[in-house]
Amino acid sequence: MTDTLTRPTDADAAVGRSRARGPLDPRIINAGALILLGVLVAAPLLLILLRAVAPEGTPALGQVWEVLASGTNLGIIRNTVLLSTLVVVGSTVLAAPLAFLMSRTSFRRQRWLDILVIVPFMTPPYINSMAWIIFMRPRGLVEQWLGPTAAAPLQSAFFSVFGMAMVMSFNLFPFLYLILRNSLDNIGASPEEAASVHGGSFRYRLRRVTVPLLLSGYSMGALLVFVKSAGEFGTPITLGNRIGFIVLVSEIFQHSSIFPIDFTSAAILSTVLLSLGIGAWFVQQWFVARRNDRVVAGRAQKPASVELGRWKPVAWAWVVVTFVAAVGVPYFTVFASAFTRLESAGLVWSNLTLLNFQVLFDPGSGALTAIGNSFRLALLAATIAATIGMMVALLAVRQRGVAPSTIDFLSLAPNTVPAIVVIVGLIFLWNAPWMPAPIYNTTWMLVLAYVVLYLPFSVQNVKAVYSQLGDTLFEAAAVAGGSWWYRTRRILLPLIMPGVLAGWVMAFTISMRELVGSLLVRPPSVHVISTYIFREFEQGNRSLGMAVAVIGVFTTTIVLVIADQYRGRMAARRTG
Amino acid sequence: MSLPKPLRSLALLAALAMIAVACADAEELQDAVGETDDAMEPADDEPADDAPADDDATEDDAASDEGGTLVFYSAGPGGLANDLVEAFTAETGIEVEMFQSTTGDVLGRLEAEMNNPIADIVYLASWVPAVNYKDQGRTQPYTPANTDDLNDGWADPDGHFWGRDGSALAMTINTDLAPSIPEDWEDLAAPEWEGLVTMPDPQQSGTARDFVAAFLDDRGDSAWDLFDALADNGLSIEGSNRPAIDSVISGANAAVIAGVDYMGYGAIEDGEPVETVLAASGTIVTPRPMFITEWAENVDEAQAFMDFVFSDQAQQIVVNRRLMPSRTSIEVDPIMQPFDAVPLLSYDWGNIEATGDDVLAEFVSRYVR
Repeated sequence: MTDTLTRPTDADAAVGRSRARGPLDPRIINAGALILLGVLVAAPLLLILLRAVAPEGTPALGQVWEVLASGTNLGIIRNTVLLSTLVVVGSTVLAAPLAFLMSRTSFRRQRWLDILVIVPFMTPPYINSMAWIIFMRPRGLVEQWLGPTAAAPLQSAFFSVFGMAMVMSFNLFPFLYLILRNSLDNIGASPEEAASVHGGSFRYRLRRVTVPLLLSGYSMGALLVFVKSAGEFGTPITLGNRIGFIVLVSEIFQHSSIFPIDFTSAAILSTVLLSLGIGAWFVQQWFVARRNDRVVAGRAQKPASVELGRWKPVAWAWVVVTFVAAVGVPYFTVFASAFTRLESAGLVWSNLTLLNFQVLFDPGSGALTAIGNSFRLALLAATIAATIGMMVALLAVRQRGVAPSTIDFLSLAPNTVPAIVVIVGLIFLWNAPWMPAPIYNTTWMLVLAYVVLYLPFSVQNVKAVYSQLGDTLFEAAAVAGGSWWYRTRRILLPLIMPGVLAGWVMAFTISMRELVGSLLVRPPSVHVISTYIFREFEQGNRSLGMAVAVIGVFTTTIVLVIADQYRGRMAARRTG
Repeated sequence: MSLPKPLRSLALLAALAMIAVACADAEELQDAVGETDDAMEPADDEPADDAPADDDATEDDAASDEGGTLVFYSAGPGGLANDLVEAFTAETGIEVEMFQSTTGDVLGRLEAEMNNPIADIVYLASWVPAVNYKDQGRTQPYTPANTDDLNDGWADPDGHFWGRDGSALAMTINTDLAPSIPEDWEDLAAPEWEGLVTMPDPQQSGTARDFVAAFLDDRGDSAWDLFDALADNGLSIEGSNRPAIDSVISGANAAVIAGVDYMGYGAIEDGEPVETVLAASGTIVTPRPMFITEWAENVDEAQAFMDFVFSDQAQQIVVNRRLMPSRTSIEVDPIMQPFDAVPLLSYDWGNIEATGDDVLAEFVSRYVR
């Protein structure tokens, strides 16, 4: 379904020709884009492969085998697969009932749930983990409320791979939810009604009609969740390292940042991590190819509905529990911790304080500088990414052929490749002894890392808008004698601007919270929000770290609230 | 953020961004997962004109970050490093670019940058890596001022690296939870302490690693008896010093064994129910070395910083952060023990360096994996 939308068709190509025949030969533009993406994306990834198989310049496959076959690394690979599988299971448990309720029942009127479901996705994973650790730790909040006896089994369950899987599921289930809900919406009422007419019970319909039709969409979502959790950094580095559950990402981080450095192992394990994702993709493709479900019939469909009846309270209870755990617990803990004075005293009135915020606003603490740095760097990176992404997206949609599809592939790769792999590649490239550009160990390195990591958001958003534009406006302008530049300026840019801005905002928001790249390539003296919080947490000043997190949450919330009002006013203007 | 112009354009851009934010939450996520069914909203011309203005403003901003005269890589504690750098800059006007993290991180970064090294001066929380660095020719000799009354054995004989400050490894106890106040290491192996004791992981904590090696140097193979007894008693071995101490402060454990003393003193002063005990039979004091790198570009500034950190002023800052000063003439805070009052195991840094790796491997195979 996704494929048919993004694959350039003949019509697209024709449209493209009339849209954007520019003053420059497209081959020159293509070459330029290829060189740019080659340096930004392809070179770092190739250097990883090179370093993995030939660390000293000569092939050393024996060493690869040695690293891979070591008991420790096998265990780490097993851990990664186990954790990612558990996260897929966890996300399914969270996402499936919610998707069903929102697509098939009267819950679909509760649109605010769709907003709420974004919150856990937008919460930085490391903050989510830290909050859960503070909540669950011995003599933490959960123990304070339930008492040591009741809390003990919860705590021991949490400080294990299951706790990690739970926290990561809370972060990632929104992906799966959106995919499942869209698939459910697409199925429509007819197949189920047909089954119903023939006397199929609710369970029978669910088992023989709905679930089988969902499987293709689900497998795509499960693949995404699997790949995302295999590449996830925040939870393994906080909770995982704490309980000694090492996965590929944490081991790569260890090898590339902590003494003794072992870039060769980092490269080999990065390659393994990449292969794991590719392997999962093949499994998913094989799975989808075996099935051949057509659910989009191309005609108007009536949405299917199920009456909840007496199950309604149960459904509500489930929704409330889901969101209390996914949103309530982490945010409550972040706030509670930010306003707490003594670690040992827990959450009681006498232990509440504003001290952490005083420290935060004291210039000597560096917190404000870190927030300012994040803001500036994210602004810069998002703007550059939006610019490059816009050009690349216009190229990719417009033409067919090897060069444009390579451009397309490269510009989207950083979204699928785990961030730590991209970053290690960037280090290999920009820190190489032969690299003439003195970017490594400057602030620009952070900007560069953010741009590469979040370029796909910009590309995807512009492509989404651009591929839906009709041809007529451009033709009309051309017929009326509008020059290429005029058509671009007055028609193309205004029309794709929402996509550009959407990508810009996404890149900006996520750059503001990026952790792994910031930890690995930040120059001396430069802290950003995420590294600041991470360091304070590591040094035991959890409350201060959480206070900074609160400021971050506030800024985001304010932006979102204003944005919502702005959008409401715009809509009013348009209709009025 | 002090410039009004960037600030204004930031606000402008933030406002523009908001037009898209609403799509940016729900629809963005869908785009990210590949669902492009939902059409974006029709375009609005407004945003197009204003965006470029911000570009310039931020570029100016980032450019001003460059420059700097001394690059300092420092292990923790972060507060102390900040205080010293601040006082040094106030005194000399030399700007310091600091990378501050754990010893493992600092060493990792140094190694990762070996192609293009930039650190002029380095401070570590562990003695052994400094010895290695000198052996590999990565340090240069310099004898700082104010080091006449340095603690015995706190400097490299050839003057390559110098102990700026130090800490004793102690038992830090949560007095609310402790069944008794221990006097010596063995006390924590008693049945009443079962499941209550933690120790920093020697794989992650250089000081804990040195402690194990020193303990073996002092007691020979019978040293393993203590660790065996502790392990049988449910010793948890996790993380670096900070999480170990934290688990005692928060009450997850009741005692940390072989943790740095200054973190305990800090907790006591914060009002936490904590006590720091030095074992009667002896412990180790790890001097924390500072050295100028062989490749340093700002040698004069680095030497000035070396001189500064041993001055009375800087050593007082050290004491204020509850680390042990390196000079005998500097008085410690009443809450702390001075260097000459700490009962020491008999150990030799040369031996610790020589045996450290093997001891660590043995320790890990016995108790960790």
